Amino acid sequence: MKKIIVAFLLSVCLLSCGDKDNSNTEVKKDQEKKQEVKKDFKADFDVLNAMPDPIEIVDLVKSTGIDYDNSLLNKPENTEKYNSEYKMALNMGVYTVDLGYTNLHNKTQDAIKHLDATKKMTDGLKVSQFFDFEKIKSITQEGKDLNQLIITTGIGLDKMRQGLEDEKRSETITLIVAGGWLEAIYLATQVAEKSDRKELKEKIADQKIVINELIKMFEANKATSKHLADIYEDFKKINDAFANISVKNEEGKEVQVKMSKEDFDKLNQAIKEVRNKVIS
Amino acid sequence: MKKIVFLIVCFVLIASLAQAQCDVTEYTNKCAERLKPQGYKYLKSYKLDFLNGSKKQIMYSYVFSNNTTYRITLANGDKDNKGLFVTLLDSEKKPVASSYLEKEKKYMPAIDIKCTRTGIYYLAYSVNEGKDFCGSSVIGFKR
Repeated sequence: MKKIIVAFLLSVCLLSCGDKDNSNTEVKKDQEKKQEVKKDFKADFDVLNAMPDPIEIVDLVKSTGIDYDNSLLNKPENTEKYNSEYKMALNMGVYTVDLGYTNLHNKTQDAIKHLDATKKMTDGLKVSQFFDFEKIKSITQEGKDLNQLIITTGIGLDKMRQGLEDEKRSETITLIVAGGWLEAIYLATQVAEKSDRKELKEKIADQKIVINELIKMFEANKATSKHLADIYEDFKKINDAFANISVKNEEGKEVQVKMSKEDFDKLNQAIKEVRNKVIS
Repeated sequence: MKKIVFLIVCFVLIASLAQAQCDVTEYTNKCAERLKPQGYKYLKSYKLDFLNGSKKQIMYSYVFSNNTTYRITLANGDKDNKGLFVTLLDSEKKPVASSYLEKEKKYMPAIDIKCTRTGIYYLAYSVNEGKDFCGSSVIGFKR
């Protein structure tokens, strides 16, 4: 009897190890294939992970008290236009920020539409598995627990980032981050036209740090493809518009934002143009 | 023959336990819950896998914004977070705050920081006692 039990346990262990080996080999081959295709794009994941999350900007936008305006958002129907991975990645970033904006304003119907749009992008990018869309939709429809909604969505985004990093899909994650940042600063500048909140102008000026890092990444990779060369040129226009804008923040002293009306208008225009090109 | 087969089975079992993954789902959810009472909004989470002790420190960086208060929460397999702590460093890597209270030998589950200067900050996570080398940290914010 003892011999039978031990032999059974041994065979179970050996069989499961064997299966795991085979599936691991298949997964490894898939990953190597993806790596062969994607490894041309060089990204610094430490820098990408250090970038401030767009929700900080969107939260500040909400706090200005300026009325919700869904005409500012990328229409969910526009998902039909996005067939390339490049466009899907950029607009996944855009839609997740729009989703945050609708949620923070408790606009449930718009939130559901933007959630569906985000899901379409995640399906196209093959990253849906990182999100619990059923749970997110359910919490959105209930409209009661904004905190839990932000947590569930945020955890999904973090899992997706980690997953893309593990799969070495550097270009995809960079474009998602860039698209999200672009939409957040677009919303901020549009609302800043109507609001004289100092913190909003300061937040916009602070984005000089972020665009600087994005530009470096796109510049290092612009030779990889035409669309990356285009996006480098586009983001460079925004970067150039930041030239005369600065924030002086010394310990114990009031923050000084240097951004004239002309500088703001130039920046606003550059952001609008690039953003409209991304969502077109 | 019995002894050989028994040894092989033991070896396989021990090997599979050693390769156990650091699954942080439960810890991340625990951290996220700690944001709620004081109205912090979820910002991002970090997986802390110290690879069974072979990694002494895990460092992340984040751009913290002026006039914003951040909460950095932590959780591992111990209910009191024993062993796991975070040290926040400024852009020059000088310590600003720590979740480990040296005098009391206490590991706090969270630290709150009011940022007065926008810039890059570093979060240095370490385990300085025990054998729990898997954890999670979540950052939340409020204005």
